[in-house]
Formats: sequence, structure tokens, C-alpha cells
Amino acid sequence: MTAEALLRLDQLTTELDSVRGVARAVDKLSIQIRKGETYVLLGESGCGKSMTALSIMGLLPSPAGRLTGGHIYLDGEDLTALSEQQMRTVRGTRVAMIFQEPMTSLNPVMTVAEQIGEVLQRHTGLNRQQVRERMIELLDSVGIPDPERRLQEYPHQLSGGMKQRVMIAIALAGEPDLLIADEPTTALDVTIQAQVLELLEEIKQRTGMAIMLITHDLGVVAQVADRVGVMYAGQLVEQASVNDFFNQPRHPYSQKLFHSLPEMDKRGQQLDVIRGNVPPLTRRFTSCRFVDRCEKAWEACSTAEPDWIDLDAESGVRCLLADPAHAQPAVPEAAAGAVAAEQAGYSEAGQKLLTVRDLQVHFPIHKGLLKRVAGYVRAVDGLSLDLNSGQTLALVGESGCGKTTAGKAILQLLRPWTRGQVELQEHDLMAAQGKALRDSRTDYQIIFQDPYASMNPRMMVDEIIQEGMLAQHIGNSPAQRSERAAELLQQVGLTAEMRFRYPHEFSGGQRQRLCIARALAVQPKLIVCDEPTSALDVSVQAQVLNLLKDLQRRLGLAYLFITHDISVVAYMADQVAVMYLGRIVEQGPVDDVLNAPRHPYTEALLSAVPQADPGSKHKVIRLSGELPSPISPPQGCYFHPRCPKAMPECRQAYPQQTGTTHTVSCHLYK
Amino acid sequence: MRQVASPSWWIKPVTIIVLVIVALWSGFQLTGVKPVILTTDALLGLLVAGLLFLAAYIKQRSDLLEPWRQVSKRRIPVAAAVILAAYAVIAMIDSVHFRVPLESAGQDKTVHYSVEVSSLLDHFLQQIREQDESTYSAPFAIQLYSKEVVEREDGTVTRDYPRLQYGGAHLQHIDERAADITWRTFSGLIKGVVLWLLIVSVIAFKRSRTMRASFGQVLLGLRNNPDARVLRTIMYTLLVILLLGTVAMELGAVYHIFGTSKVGQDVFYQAVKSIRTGLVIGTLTTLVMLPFAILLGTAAGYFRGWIDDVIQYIYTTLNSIPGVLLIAAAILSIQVYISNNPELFRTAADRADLRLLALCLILGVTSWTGLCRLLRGEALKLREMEYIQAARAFGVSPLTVLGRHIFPNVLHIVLIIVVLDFSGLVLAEAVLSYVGVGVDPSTISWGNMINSARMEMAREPVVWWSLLAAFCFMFALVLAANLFADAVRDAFDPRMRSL
Repeated sequence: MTAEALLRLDQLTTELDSVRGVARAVDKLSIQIRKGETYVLLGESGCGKSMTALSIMGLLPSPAGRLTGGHIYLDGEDLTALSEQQMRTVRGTRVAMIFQEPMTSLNPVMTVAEQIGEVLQRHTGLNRQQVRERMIELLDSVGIPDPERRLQEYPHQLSGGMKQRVMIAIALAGEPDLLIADEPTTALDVTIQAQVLELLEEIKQRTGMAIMLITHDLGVVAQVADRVGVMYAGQLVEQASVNDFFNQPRHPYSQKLFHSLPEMDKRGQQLDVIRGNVPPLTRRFTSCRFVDRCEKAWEACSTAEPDWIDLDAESGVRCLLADPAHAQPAVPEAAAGAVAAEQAGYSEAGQKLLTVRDLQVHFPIHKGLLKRVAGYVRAVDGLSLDLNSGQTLALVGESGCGKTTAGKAILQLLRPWTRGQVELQEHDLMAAQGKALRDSRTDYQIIFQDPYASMNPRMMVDEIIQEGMLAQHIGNSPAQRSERAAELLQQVGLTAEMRFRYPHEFSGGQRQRLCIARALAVQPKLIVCDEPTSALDVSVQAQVLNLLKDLQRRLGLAYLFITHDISVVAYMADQVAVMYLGRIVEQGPVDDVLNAPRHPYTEALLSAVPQADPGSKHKVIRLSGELPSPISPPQGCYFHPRCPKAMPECRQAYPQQTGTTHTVSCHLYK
Repeated sequence: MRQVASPSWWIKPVTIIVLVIVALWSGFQLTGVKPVILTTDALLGLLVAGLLFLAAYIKQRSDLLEPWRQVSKRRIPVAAAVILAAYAVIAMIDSVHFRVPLESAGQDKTVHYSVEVSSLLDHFLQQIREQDESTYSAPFAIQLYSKEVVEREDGTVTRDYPRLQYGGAHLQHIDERAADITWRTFSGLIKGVVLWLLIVSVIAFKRSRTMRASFGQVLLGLRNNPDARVLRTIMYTLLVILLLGTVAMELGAVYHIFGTSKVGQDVFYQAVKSIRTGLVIGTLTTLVMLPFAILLGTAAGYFRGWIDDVIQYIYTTLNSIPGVLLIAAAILSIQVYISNNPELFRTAADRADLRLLALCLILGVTSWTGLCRLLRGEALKLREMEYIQAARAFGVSPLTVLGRHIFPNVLHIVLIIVVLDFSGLVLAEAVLSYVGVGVDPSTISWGNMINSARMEMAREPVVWWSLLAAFCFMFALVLAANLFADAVRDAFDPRMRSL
């Protein structure tokens, strides 16, 4: 590993104007990326990872952002000294970038051919025929089947994974030496993510290009990285080869990141959390930036700013603990053991709470002048499940499989399109109308995915929490309700004074707590949690998961937990139901389903989840194709066109459900 | 920042409104005039009162105040706001109407009032208002614009440009005019500066009380302190307005600074009187259209289904009828109504006022569709927002959702559209009056001024000053409104706030 450095950042500093003042998004960042290696920049949101990438590309938002110091050397040439004109030839030919959101990175009114051709014509001297050949070659190389046809298509005709492949093809068009990938798989499902990561690895092997990958997902790191750099609050806090990093993380922050990952093994204990949030970068730091959240901090940490310490050629860390100049204090006993002892065992299975039978949500498609119904989107197509009080049922599946729709339909939010049977404690919700329905809503509540969109920005927290109480006539006077709101806030780990603030003054994790408090205000028995932590950072996710578990234990709540994140399922759920195209294909106790999956789809889904362990070389079962459209589901078993174990009879009929506690709908099991 | 809604926020606006009413009432009592409240006066008064309440409410809500604070930090919108405020003050002064008592003849105890309704502004501009010539005269002229038969001192009769009755009547010879104008301009400037210094020192005095600094320090701070940058902009804009005002008054007393119209009325007076007409149209029309647009727009977007279909059908139909046709029809039928029911109107001012109001109504009815469509789109987006879903999951009733969740979140769009539409409506009045379906011909408005000047554009030598005066006044108002609207839009645009 003595290859020369391709990219060298030397004390790179980037500043960004914000409402609260000038934020130093990247602070004296020095890293080297060698030819042909994958360097992963890891960190929570707001740590300056994306700003680093944009600084290298010279694409900082103007006029708010600017480079205020340092140099960027690419093959020894200083990019900061180049003019915009010269940078334009660097971009594309020597450094290329792909972004997180494939939906918005492509121009919707240009065909794939036009978008790739644009880059090719700019950077190569090829003629029309050659450009076309090269385009087909490129699409082929990123694994797009039938490239000739795809060239003439528009972005909306492609699926999410396809779009990301096209983006990669565009990035590769100029044959760059360095590819910067900014969270390239965050918006994609695990099965697609596995495909894209595999593709990146393969391209690297083939072309010898270096990749700088930005991510917050430790699983992704383990799968693709050669070396890892951890960023925190604009600084590099640790750098190591991937094996060293996973075997022995040096910085307390890295260690904490590992501890806060939800896993099967941590069931029954609380997750280790990193308290607080990333400090605002508008502050001028005189201490270690992590000191407020660090359990190993001692006095010296809050008086001196730690320097970068090279441990060997490969690795280094920015922490006083590793600094020989500072005396090592007695490390306070880690609190993790105490936490684990605090609670034991799963929550006891209670009585039957929710029964759903043959739930269907069919959205009509209107067409033509008279808006006749031309067909139906079968978002949920015959779903049955049971949930006992005090238990958690996880509904798992890829995006578009109808799990959120199912959650909302159970809550009677999609009334006109819902058919089937939903009973909550023997009370038939589908039959309730008007006031009876409104009154029944006190028993079931919902927590949403996006903590930013789930609260009215114009209302004070107090009003937000009281809304449900008002609608359900809980509490007699405003004073009484306000008092109850204060109680609820304390219950979710906030303070009573916070109710006089507005939602924008809270961080993502705090907002999710507010949403939980709001749902609790009407004393529900069932809470549908619709991906409550997928918009949060790992450390904050741990806080919210802990809170949810704690509330379940104390209040006997039942959760219908909708998620795509298998590690959260492993930690939270008692029961798991795997959904595919509007139907449940496998259902059972969490240990059985996750450890011994029976349905081929469940197997593939589980194998695609990246493990936060570079040593585990499990085989990813690659699914061909994409999720079919719920407008016209395939004949027979819905999964058979993608199933590696498909048999002739799979095409004939949808399989019957078999099994008692661990049920599965597959022709393999009869 | 902790913000609790203080329950007494309404005290201040109520005090201001009560004080203004008491002051006006005692003024009327003291002078013995008979107040006349035209419908548009009442509506304008209500509007201003409403704005006062709104301002007081916004002031104690940190989230609502923030965008306005952004606006107030920039110099151009602040200057524009000062200009708009000057226009608004003139319009308000012009909206206090009364009838002057006539000298009672004989022993008759009952007081008779003049049939002419005049305003406080007329009173201030009395000198200019009453100096009517017989026909056109150019700005600063001392002679009429057309030849008439005049009798010389020696008794001979010739055709010549006669001297004006008022304009420059104090001059012996045309050669004295330049010196006279210079001198009067200078004296006007002096008066303006003195008035300005007075205002500045009052402000500095107030600041020295709140900032606990000496008066001199505050004055110096006003000049040099970068924090007072915006305040300085306000002061300088005010200075310009004051100087223009005092110089115009000084010169207007003895000259027709914008010339005279066909019937010899001072064009400067006309232009100033037109301000009220323009503002009434700009603001009251908005008031008419807002309930339609907000209620129908948000309801269509939130409820979807047949409600959406009906509302869309209504505004699509309304939109496909040419607006001018609708306005012309409405105005003509109002006119017929007015002439068939003369007994309903005591004065000519009443009649003209009804027509002005009718124009506002019909403009409002034809112009709500644009905002309605925008709000429908926004409500369509908002109804899928998770907080609306959460409210529905709580069993909150649909109307409450509309009022509590949708309306506050489309308010910024309403505000932006209202401010942007204002200048368009002022211009619309000019166009409609030009076409002949605008305000009553007896109402002084920029549109009427332009309309009457249109015939004279073909004449040789050309009569240009009516047009120029209307243009200058309208231009300043519309430009200020547009600059202000731009800043408001920027401040309320969520995309601009992110960085």
C-alpha cells in the first residue's frame, strides 16, 4: 500500500454563511487518497462531509460558501489555484461526483442519451457514431440491461436503482481518476444498495480509479472501504485502515458509534447513546469538539484542543487520550454494564389488541376526459396480522411494498379506498363512522418518519401537544392540558419549559421525542411507528429507540413498527412480518424469521443488509430486476419473476399460507 | 428564545385607534364642520385598524416577526416602505371628509352646509385648489397656453396669450421668474431641512432615553454608527420627501408647477388627489378578493373530490371570460342604477364613491382566481404533510384543520401575492379609466388624467404635463410597491431562508 497519493487535501478550510453566522464547515482537513483505493469519509449529518466533497469539486454553494484556506492537490496540481474555466476540464475528466438523490440529479426533460452524450462531447473528441457506441458501452458497464433501448428513455421511466446506475455511467464517461460518491445508496433499498455497492467495487477493480465514498452507514463502510476517515464537527477525528477501524476504534466517538448500533445481541438492554448533538459549527472552539458528549472526557479535554496524532503511516487520531504529552486519567467505568442490568427479558405477551384480516387498499386510477376508473393501484392487497398489547410487530419490506399504506389504512386514514376487517380490542374500526370513529382515535396513534414535516411550524409545542387532547376532550381547562403537556415532555426526556418554543428550535431527535409526546397525549394503546428513526443519525436513533422501548415497558404500548432497517427490527421487534407487493410473505417471531428465514425473498433481503463487520464475507443473494408495479402484479406468486428458486407452479397460483407461529406463503413449503 | 403570547398585545392598537377617533371628533366639534363618512372612507379606516392589529399581533410572535425583521434589515425595501407610507398618509388625510358650514344668511338658526364634500387634504391644499385658471397653461407659465382676445391698457384689442389669473400673478415681467423660482425653491429647501432636523432630533431624543446615552452621542451615532444604517436610510428618504413637499408647496402657492388642465384646474393638485383613488383600488380590491381566494382555494385543495371539481369549474369559467368585458358590464349597470335612483345620494361625492367601490368589488371578483389556484396547489401539497395526517389521526374536524394548519401555512403566499398585486391594481385603474369603464369621470384619478390628456397628444403644440404628472406619481408608487414586494417575497420564501 505504498501507492502514491492521488488526492491530497492540505489543511482544507471551508466556510459557509448561515443565518446564525459564519459556520466553519470544514476545518483544516488533511487527508490523502491513493490511486485505486476506496476511502470512506464517515460521520453524522452536519459534520462537513458533503462540504468537503463540494470543496474538492469547486462546487460550493455561491455566494454563501467559500474556501478560506488550505490546498487541494490532485496528482500534485493545486486545484485551488485553478480558474473556474480550468476547473471545468478537471471536473468530469479527472474528478467526477455522484450524489445521494438519483431522482433529482438527472434532468427530467432530457433522455439518458442526451445526458451522457453531453458529458462525452465535452470531454472527448468523439464523433456522433463513436459517442453512441461509447454510451452503450458505458451503460453496459454499469449493468443496465438492453442499453440501446434505455438510451432513448427519460429519467421517469427508470427505477431508482437504474437512475443511480445512469448517474454512475455519466460520472464514468470522462474516465475520471477519482470518483466522489456522496451517500450514493442512502436513498435506495437494501437490495438495490447491495447491487450499487457491488458495481462500484467492480468498476474500481477494472479501471483502477480511486473512490471517495461519503456515508454515515457503518455497514456500507465495512463492505467497501479500504481506509476510513471519521469526521466530527468539521474535523477529521480518526483515520485507520478498515480492519483496524472495526477491530479497534481509537476515538471515543467512533467507539460510541459502534455501541449505539441496534443489533439482535443488544435486545433486552438499552442501547448506548451519545448524549446531545453535534455542536453548531458557527462556534469557535477552544476545547475538544466532542467533549460535551464524551464519557471519557476529563478536565484537560475542555481546556485544550487536541492535535492530530499520527499513530503509524496508516492511521491517526485526534484525541488527548492518545496523546503521550497528556497524562492518562483513570478512565471512568463504562456505564454500559449498568445499563444492561437495568432491564431484562422481553415484554410479556398481553391480550390480543389488534386484528387485521384481508386488508385491501386499492387506489383507483382515473383516466380520460370523464375520469373513468381505468384500473387500481393495489398498494395493500390482502394483509392479515395480529398484535398483542405490549408487543412490537415489525412490518418490513422494500420501499413501494405498501407497508406505510398498510399502517395508514389500519389507522383509518385512507378510508374511501380501504376494504377488509380491522378490529382493535373487539371494536370494529371499519364500521365506525363520524363521531364514533373520531372518538375511537384516542386508542391508536401514529409517529411519522420525517420529524421536520410532522409538526406544524406555526404552532408552539404546547399547542401541538394539546391538539389531540382538545380533539379528544381530555383535560377540562387550558391550564390542566398545559400541565399534562409538561408531564408528557418530561416523560419523553425533555423539559417542561420547552413547550413554549416552536418546532424549528429543536433538533431532529428532539422533534421525534415531541412527536412521541404528542401521540402519548391521548393515551393510545397502539402506536404505528412509520420509520421513526430512518431520518435520524445513528447516535440519535439509539436515543429514540431506547425511549420507545422504555415507554413500552412502562405503559404497555403496542407498536406496529414499519421499517426497512433490519438491525432496528432485530433490536426492537417481537414479531416480524415481511411484506412484498402488498402482501405478507412471511411472518413469525423475530428470532425465527431473522435467523432462519424460509421465504426466498426474506433470505435475499436479509443477505443484502450490509454487516458492520468487514470480516463477514456473507454471500449477497442478488435479486434480478425491480419491484413490479402494484397496478398489475404478476400472475401466480408475486415474487416468482425475481425468485431464484422459482418453480413452474409458482406461475400458476398464489401460494397458500403455511405454518403456525412462523408462517410463510411459498410453494416450497407445503 | 422563549416566547409566550402576551395577552395584552391588543391594547396598543386600540389606544391608537381611540386616540385618532377622539382627535378627529374634537377637531370637527371645534371647527363646526359636518363630518361625512363615505363608504370607502369607512372601509379604508377599517383596513388601517386591521393592519394595526395585525402588526401588534405579529410583533409578539417571534416566528411571524422574523421575516419582517429580515425585510427591515435591507435598505432598499425600507426606503420603499417610507415612500409607501408617505403615500398612505396622504391618502388617509384625503379620506377625512366633511362639509363646511355656509355663512348663514339672516336670522336662520339652522346651519346650512355646503353641498361640496371636501377633505382634510383639500383644506391643506386650499391655495392650490382654488387657483383655477380658464384653460391649459404650461408648468410655471405666467400666460395661458392659447391665444385669446385681450384688451391692452391703451384700449386696443389684439389676440395674444393672456396673463394667468393666479400663476405668477405677482410678477411684473417674465424675466423676474427665474430669480423668483430660485428664491422660492431655496426657501422651500430651508423649510424642509428645518422640519427634517426637528424630526431627527425628536427621534434622537427618544433614542437617547432608551439607550441611556447623551443626546449628542446619539446624534453622532446616527451619523456614523453602522448599526444605524437602516435608520439613516429612513431619515434620508424622509428628507427627500420633505424637501419635495415643502418646495412644491412653496412654489405651488404662486405657480402651477405641473401646469393646469383643460378646465384650468391645477394638475399638481389633481395628481395628489389621485393618490387616494389609486390606494383605495389597490387595497380594497385585495380585501374583496381575499375571502374568496383563501376559502375556496384551501378548501378545494384540502377536500379534493367534488368540492375541488366545483371550485375549479367556477374559477376556470370565470377566468375564461375576458376581465374587461365583465368589468365594463358591471360598471355600466351600476351607472344605470345610480342614474335611476338619484334620491339615494345626497351629494355628487356619494355617487362617485359608490362607483369607486363598485369598481373595487368587480375587480376583486375577477382577480381572485390566480391566488385561488396557487392556494389550491399549496393545500394539495400540505394535506399530505405529516402534521395534517397527525391531526386527522387525532380526530380533529376538517374545518379546524383548515383554520389551524392549512391557513397559517399558506399565509406567506397570500401576503406575497397581495403585495405583488397591489401595483398591478393601481395600473389596472389607470387602464380601465382610460378605456372609460373605470372610476366616475368626476373622481380625480391618474386614469382620468391620462384619459383627458390623450386627446391633447395630437395637438400642436403638445400638452404633455398632465401625462407627465400622472406618470411621475404613479411611477414612484408602483416602483416603491414593487421593490417592497420583492423584499417581502425574498424574506418569506422558505428557499431563501435555508442558508
